[in-house]
Amino acid sequence: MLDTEPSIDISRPQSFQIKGALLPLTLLEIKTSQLELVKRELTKKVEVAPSFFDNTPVVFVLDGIQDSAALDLMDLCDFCKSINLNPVGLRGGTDYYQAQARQAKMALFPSVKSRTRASRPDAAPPDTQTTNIDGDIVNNASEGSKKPLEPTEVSEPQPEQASSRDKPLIIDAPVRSGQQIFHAGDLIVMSSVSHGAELLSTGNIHVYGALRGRALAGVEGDESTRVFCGSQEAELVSVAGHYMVDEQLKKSFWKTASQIFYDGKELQIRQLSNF
Amino acid sequence: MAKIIVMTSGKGGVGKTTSSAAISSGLAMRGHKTVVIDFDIGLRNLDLVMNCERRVVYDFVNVINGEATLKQALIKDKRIENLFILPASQTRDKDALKKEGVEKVLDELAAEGFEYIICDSPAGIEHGAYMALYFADEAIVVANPEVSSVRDSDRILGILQSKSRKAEKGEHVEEHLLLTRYNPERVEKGEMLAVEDVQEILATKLLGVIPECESVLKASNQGVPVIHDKSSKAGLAYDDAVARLLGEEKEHRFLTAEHKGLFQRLFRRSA
Repeated sequence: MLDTEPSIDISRPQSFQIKGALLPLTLLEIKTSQLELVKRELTKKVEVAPSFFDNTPVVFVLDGIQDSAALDLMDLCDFCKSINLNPVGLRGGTDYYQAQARQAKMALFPSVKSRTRASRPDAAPPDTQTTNIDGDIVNNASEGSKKPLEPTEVSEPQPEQASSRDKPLIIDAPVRSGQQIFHAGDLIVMSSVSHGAELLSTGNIHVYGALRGRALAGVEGDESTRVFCGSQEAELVSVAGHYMVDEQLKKSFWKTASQIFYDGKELQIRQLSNF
Repeated sequence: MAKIIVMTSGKGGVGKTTSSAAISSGLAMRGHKTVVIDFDIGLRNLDLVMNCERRVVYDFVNVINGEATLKQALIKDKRIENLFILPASQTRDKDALKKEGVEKVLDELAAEGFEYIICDSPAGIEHGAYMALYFADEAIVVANPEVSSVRDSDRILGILQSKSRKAEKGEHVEEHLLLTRYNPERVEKGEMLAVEDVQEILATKLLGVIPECESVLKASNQGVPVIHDKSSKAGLAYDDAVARLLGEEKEHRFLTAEHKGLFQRLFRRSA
């Protein structure tokens, strides 16, 4: 938590409120250090769907570039602004790129793919987020709700290392529609989670009643986290940004005690019990 | 100690005011000194349902602003001893309600010896509804057996347990669910949510189920709270709910459809 000054009740500040939020961001994965080629292709892409790219917040991913210090990030940044993209941060990246990003006053996001990337450095990550940029953009633009869910900066000021976790948070009362609970660590709900309620955790999420709302585990990018529930009736379930919505959820173990996890390729739902 | 009970729902038109009138009347009939406050500033209705619209001189906002004393604004019910109505202002809006002002009036009512203070909340989750629920010790959440009403009730329960004064102190506001406009025939046909479905979603103690009944509309239009009508199912169901609110054990009735026999049908037709 924050350092407290003796005279101010910091647990209940009057002038502001800190809330967790999970906002859609667009990833821009650069695969080459040839900036001219990037500029040419990106311009074309934006021309196809200008409204989709209208001041879209963009996070750069430069892990696909072979040379660890070949690209001028400032130049790329200026170019993006010129075509109405709004560069806001860098995910992962080498020390060189991170230093540049800091200089450009951009946010630094922890690398999600650090483990998998180590084993297969050039493979495109099996990620819903990338398909949104490479895939059918017009379709995406028309379905605003299906924009990628990207782990963003949340709630409390974050410590240097994203992996740090607090003690589990246990909630005994039902989580009602419209309530949003964020916890940096495991989140355990002893009762049900209603339609329209949202659970966000950097760790695992356990719901011992029915999960009818949304549950997002590993929001800082930990793909080993899971969601467990007493009855799977969820609106949306996500593990480290890989998500599943209504229709897929209804097909598998609906109203059954189940767990949802990420197997390295996609989300899996398994029935609990039968051990 | 006065007990402050908010009658709330989130959604409009589910029967908050009808239920406020019936339950406050029921409490007073059983000898408890009760006041019912209309928090729906600008859309005053409670006075109509209680048939005292012509006796409104000063209102809740006048008292908050110090333009009238509580005694001047309280209207004594003509049918029941121990029952008083504090009407809303029709010419103002919700912003006239300030937390300090509402608290002052509630404290004054408690000091007057009222045992039950029923706060009839406006619909929505905005300022007016928030003011009605903020000071509540208990809440009666009124819902209809349909999905949108149940969802809104769920939302208001969440607000209640996070934003009310008790919640701010880390205490729990006692919740009661009152299901109104229940039609067992339509439940059987699958056109309406059953009591069990609603309870499963809301996970809240059931105070009562009020069957859909012609007597309710008639009572509202005549300005006689339906609980006075001892021949109507709705009136009896409200009476049961009041008993449960006071801690009595009562079995829920009117939950299943009556299947009319041939003779009953013939009799009904000729009647």
